[in-house]
Amino acid sequence: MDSSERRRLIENYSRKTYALTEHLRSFPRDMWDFKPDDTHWCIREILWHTLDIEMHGYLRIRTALAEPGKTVSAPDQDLWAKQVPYIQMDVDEAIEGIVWVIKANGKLLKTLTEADFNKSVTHPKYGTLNIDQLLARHNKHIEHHMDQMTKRFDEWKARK
Amino acid sequence: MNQEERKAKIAEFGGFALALPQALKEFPRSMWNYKPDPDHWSIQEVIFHLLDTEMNFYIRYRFCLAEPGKTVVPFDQDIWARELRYKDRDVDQALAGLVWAIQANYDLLKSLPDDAFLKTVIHPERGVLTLERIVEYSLGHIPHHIGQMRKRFTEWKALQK
Repeated sequence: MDSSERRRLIENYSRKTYALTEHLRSFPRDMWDFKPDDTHWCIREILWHTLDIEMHGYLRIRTALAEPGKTVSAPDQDLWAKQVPYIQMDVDEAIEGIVWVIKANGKLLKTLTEADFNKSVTHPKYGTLNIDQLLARHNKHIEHHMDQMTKRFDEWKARK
Repeated sequence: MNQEERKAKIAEFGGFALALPQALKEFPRSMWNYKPDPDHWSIQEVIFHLLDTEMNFYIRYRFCLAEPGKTVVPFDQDIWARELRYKDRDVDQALAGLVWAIQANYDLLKSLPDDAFLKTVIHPERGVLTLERIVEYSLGHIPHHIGQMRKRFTEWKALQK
């Protein structure tokens, strides 16, 4: 990844705090617990999942910088959603956490050198992931789940 | 630990979301980067260490609940402090995150049934840890570092005379 592409990705990632909170305004609160069936997540569950993946990202980026090469942990997302359990948890706390962790990660990423972005961790499933790759994955991950929220809203609207 | 003792400990832990920022008011901002020598942490470095530890606890508590028996990843606190350059980073952002993480962990812990505290993870150096044991460790960790910050302040004050 060249430095201008990286800068663009970091900006894009950092702006997700605004993009996500704006996106959420499109969906009335009274449908945030709607799910079409038990195998799909509602918006509340998506938000807690997004937070927990960002929390893993927080630790992975820092592990790559401080202890490069180390194997990191990877959660089973469906078990976490069910066992933690997301459906009963305060959704505003999740939003606050997502905003904080993206800001903290974005701010750290902006201070790194070119060489830092090649530092990596070992993911149990995906193998070696450097910070460039982690950044790209987290960007895509949030976008994917914002789309998933829109889908849930459309399903809810169709049932009205 | 019986249910009452556990409830009291969890409440004590939740109290740190207020007690920690309160304790920090004892120390003037101008000395938060003071350290007596490179081997000791400044108050700013202690705050970042508390934040990163709380983030690790956040993940460990949830692994206990969702994937009991899983091996968690420890971190080398001295390498993190040095390589992540805690001394150069935004301490207000760290404090906001630390208070949020304590509150989020507290909200989770106080909602759990008794049997959840018997769930375990494996720590590569400490072996099998129950959720209850991790909570006990966490409860001792924050006061230990508040004590360390007070010590740093006393050392700094002695140099001002």
